Amino acid sequence: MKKTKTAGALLGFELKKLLGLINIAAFILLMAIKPLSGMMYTLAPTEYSKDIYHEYLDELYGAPTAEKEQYILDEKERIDDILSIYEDMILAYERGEITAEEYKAYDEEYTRAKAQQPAFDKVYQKYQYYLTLSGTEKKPQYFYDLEIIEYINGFGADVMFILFLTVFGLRFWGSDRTGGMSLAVMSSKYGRQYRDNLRIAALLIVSTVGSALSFCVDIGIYAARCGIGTLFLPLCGMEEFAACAYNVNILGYLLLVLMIRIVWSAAVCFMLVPIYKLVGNIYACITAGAAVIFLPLVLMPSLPEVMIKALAGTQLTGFAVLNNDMPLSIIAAVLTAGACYALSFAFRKLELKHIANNSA
Amino acid sequence: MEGKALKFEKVTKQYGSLKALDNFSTELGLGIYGLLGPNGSGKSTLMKCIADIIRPTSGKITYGGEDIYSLGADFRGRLSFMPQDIDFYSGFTAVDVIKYFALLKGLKYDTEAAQKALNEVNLLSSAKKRVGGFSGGMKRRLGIAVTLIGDPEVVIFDEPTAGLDPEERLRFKNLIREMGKTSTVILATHIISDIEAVADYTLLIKSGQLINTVENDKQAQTHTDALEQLYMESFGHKAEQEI
Repeated sequence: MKKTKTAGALLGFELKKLLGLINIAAFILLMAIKPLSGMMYTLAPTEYSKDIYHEYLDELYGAPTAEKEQYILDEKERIDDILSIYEDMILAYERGEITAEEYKAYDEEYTRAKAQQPAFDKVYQKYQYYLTLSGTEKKPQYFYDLEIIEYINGFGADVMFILFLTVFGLRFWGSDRTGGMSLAVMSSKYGRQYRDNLRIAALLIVSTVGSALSFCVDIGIYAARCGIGTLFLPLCGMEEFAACAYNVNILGYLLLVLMIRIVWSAAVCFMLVPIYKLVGNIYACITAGAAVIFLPLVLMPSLPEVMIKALAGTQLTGFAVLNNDMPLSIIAAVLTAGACYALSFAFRKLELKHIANNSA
Repeated sequence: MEGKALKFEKVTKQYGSLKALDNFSTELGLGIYGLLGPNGSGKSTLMKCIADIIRPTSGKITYGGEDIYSLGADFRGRLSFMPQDIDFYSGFTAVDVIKYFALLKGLKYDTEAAQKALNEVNLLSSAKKRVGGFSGGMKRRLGIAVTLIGDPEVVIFDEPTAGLDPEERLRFKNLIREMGKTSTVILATHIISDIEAVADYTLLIKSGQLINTVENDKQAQTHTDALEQLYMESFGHKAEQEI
């Protein structure tokens, strides 16, 4: 009981130490980058008119029906017809078979149809995708999804929180070494017995709360941009998420991504320990930590699939949810954390050597 | 010898071909022991061996007849070590630092007990201030307060008076004298006057070897001169003076 109380009180101090290291300005900057990155996604050019695409989906909004199907088929026929007679109409006009007014009226229709075609193709593609879902559990809905897709993809590439966790996690571990406290702490009665576990626990608490806070900020920005009601639309309404087998709404998907992020953030908390113990210099330590976490993200396209499923950097992006590997991902995270915890014991002597050298 | 003895038996610490400690043997009981020697003489290695930061290549260190490394946390619970360059967590207040180290030593200090410890080193007025704003001398005094927590049986001070003003230096010496009555206090320094004022014995270390143990006569007027002379003879240059 006494030991539990001591551990609890020491955990309070570890948390205080960790929170003392977190730079509020950096945290605010981090949060400011989120909406800015969202704006950049919006400014990204598309091959079709976003406004026309938006108009079509407003027209079709809701669950697919026979009327909507007919509307799409009629619209396809209309656009195809207008576009297909373009050369014939020119010839007809040149031959005097149609009047200038008739040609002008056609040309206006043609121009509109030409502008509508790329956006409509996207809608038609969506219609065809919905046909493939008929007879399954998934019940798609038409809705304007462009900004939602852009923003959710932004969620997936949310490297800022990972960066934050890596840098501050390693600074936290290195706070003794850079401050010359290691000798005093490690030569005390409980400085070794509790330290590793309590620091991991403190980091786990901060990373979980940080993930949740980051999620709340994301949801806030999402709601401001896309409307809070869209969170409850089915994920299967967007073909871009067709690979995801989980039949959830957008909010459910984001919560699954959050869960995986929390699990892998926890794994990262364990991963930082052997990195800290193995590398002597704290700056080299941060570089090594960032390399371990971020290199998989950079190398993702060329990594074998099995590695993608087991590397923190890729898993922190919510990759597992989209690829239906959540159970595997959680097992990989637990194994990674366990292996790193075992390594942290193996590297204890190395850490003491670094402490002795740093204070020589 | 009163109390439990800290005994070194042919302790050697080797880094490649370099011997940082070379067959170091002695026995320390209650009292104050000044470790005197130039940089690289092996003082730091010896202190780190006692604190179990590094372990000897050969030889044995025992406390009360038991190997200190076998005692592990039990021995560290009786030990207090104040390193030379200690820079406490900047976000902690002085009271936090005392409470934190008390917990690390397996003790429970409330704010009142922490303030009492700070009063011993004249830091009570800064008890609730963040350590990040402390001067070097204040950090030193806080380090001394941390060392005093829990009446340790073995105390190691590495250059404890660096950065202290004359008044604080005097206060520290009085504290050390008190500690020496109930603990084994090891005081590593370059400054002879620090040792001559408080130490019961001076251990002269050169190239990792204990070359001389001198019992100090703190009352004798000529003692400092004699120690200076001995230092000159042992190390071939003058010791640093108190600033």
